[in-house]
Amino acid sequence: MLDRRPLLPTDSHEGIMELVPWYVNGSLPKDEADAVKRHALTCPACADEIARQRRLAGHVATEEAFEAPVARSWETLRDRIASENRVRQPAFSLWTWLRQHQAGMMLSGVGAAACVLVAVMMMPTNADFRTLTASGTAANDTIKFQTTPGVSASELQSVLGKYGLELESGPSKAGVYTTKAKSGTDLAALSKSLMSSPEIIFAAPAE
Amino acid sequence: MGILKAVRSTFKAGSADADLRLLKAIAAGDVTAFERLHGQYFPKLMHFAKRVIDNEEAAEEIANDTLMVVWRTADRFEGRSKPSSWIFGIAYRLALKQARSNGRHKGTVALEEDMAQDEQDTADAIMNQKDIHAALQQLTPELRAVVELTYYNGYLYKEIADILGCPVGTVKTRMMTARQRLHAMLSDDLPTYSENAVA
Repeated sequence: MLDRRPLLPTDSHEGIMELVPWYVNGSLPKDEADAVKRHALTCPACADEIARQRRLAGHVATEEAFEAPVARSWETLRDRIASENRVRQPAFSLWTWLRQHQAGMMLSGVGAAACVLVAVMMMPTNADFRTLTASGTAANDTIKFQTTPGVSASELQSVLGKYGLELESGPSKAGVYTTKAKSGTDLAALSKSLMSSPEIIFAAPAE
Repeated sequence: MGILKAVRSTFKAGSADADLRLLKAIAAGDVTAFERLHGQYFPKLMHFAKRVIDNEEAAEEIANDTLMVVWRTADRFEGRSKPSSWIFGIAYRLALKQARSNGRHKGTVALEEDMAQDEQDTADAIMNQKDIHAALQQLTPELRAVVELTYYNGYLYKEIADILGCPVGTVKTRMMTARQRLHAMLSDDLPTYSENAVA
């Protein structure tokens, strides 16, 4: 298959021929660069190919110079960030607030903790109860991802279905979705596979 | 060789470590760090996107969208590849998506093998024009991306594999296919290139 063939050895003519572009762009590690150089000394075909690729590289590297509108782009992005921040504004970070008021709360915290402990002990237990933000083991099986713009719900379902995933929530205000994988799944590998789909821009295991 | 070294050193002026520091700051919500990263990457991303989809307006949008994804998800960068590879990988997926939605391309490199005959039909015209841009546009977006990342950005094949999210063998095969197609379309007497042009 085109994408899965074994790599050619670098001591073969074909293997050297494949390395030529990266010899030309100067990125090859020294051992591979030396191998190309040695081979080209006795192989006119590879020497010609090096010369041809240098000419091509020169064209690609300098062709179509255009003025990138950096200032306009930054204005656009700054506006987008400001707009997203406004939407997020009401969000209240309890953790940040607690850290800011840590010292003052120390004393009263001890008393409060005692009250909470008593209240918890008196509460009826329900093993199935779980808050949305609870970080039990289930949270370890979730993946966060973002889609490319314009992906329809059916396209998204189709992509997730291909990997045996179900949409758990999303999109958030920032356009992030959450999906849950089967327990024991290699989330990093699954995230990588998910990103190979053109509909998915980014995917990573939830923290 | 001097040309490419110049391009490569310009491109890699911001080291991976510096990029990583910027990403960490961005993850913490530092807009100034994001502005710096934007200044470094926007032109490169736009150039890359323009090469892949051949549309300046859409390329600008793709570069913007890429950077917004970086802003939103910098905290999820795990350092498995270089920051620049991660960023270009996002741009590649967005550009490919755009190319596909434009309906100018049917999806895989393998499919393009069947289109070789059509390309050959246009080869004569392109040879006469000696137009590298037109020749590149005859390639699939996947092939153009590899050529661009190799010759404009100066990436090693392993880095390109990271960006495209494919095996190294695929990168080499795509580059070989691109070379063969371009060789068929362009005459061998490309004008000699001045090494001082990008110095």
